[in-house]
Amino acid sequence: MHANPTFDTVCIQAFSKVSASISHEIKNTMAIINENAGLLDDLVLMGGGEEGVSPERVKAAADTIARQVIRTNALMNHLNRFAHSADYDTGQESLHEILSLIVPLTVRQAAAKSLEMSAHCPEDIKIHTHLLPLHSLLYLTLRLIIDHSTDADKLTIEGDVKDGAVFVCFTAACISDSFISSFSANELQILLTKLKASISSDDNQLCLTFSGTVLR
Amino acid sequence: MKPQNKEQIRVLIADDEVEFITTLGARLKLRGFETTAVSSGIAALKAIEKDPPDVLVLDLKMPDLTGLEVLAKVKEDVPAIEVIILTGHGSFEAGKEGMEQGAFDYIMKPVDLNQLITTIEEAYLQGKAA
Repeated sequence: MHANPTFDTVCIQAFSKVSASISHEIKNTMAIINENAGLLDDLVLMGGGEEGVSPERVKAAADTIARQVIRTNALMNHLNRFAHSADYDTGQESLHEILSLIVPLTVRQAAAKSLEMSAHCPEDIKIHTHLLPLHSLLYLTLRLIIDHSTDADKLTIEGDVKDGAVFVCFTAACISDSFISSFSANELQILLTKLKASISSDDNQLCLTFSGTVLR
Repeated sequence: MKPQNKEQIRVLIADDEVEFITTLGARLKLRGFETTAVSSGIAALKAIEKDPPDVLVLDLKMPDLTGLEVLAKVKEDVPAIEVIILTGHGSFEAGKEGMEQGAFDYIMKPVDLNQLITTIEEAYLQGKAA
């Protein structure tokens, strides 16, 4: 947390966390590609003997490289989409697409806690609002919940429309009264204010309700 | 000075990226090391308890226990094991912190295999000299 958070510093914080997480994961995919490329070199060097190069081992290494390229591409797509949320002050986006971007950005952190995550949202809800703070708020909220969760907990994320307003609700055992209190005092309030969003809570659930134009 | 016989160097690799440890383990085996690979901190400690290696190659970020937590436990229980930290962080700080806590050295991912091998051999010799 910053001593004197502003809208800009909180959005930068979100982008920094996303970038750090994705770049770290790409280091891992590159490490796997590097090892398998080296193994192919090793197999060629070994292939000078009577047995030749094992086609199965070559195929296994090639398949691993291909899988990691697909994984890296998905990571870069997520980073690219998150980055483009800053293109305009306001914009229109499908809530389903937003959750399909934000939730995968936290999969590695959730996996580290053996946290089972699931997200549900109808595909026909579009929201017109400030997209950068919306993406930042949802991402930072998810990261906060994951940080507070205990091992092997379950986290459900639900997006929908009620009474003409879009909401996103997070349900997990770690969402206690003390979590809600600390969330309410958190610098994320700056983003809630920008989005004219409100918080409600009930029974291990935190709901964010947004006032952007809803299209269906 | 290099070890006379690589077969005598037992290496345990701990990293949650299974395809990484499988391939790295296979390449080290091709070069004469005796290698075992595990994919979590707790599995690393169990493997050490069962059959202590000479050198532990340890990722910093793993589920259950972090690499630094594993390092602390190894230095407390089996200090003879030399530990080489693997880090995917872009900065040197993470690796340096490991060395301050007793790691022999740190290497950044993607790994330069020749550099890793040299470091494993040096760590092994240091462990034997101690």
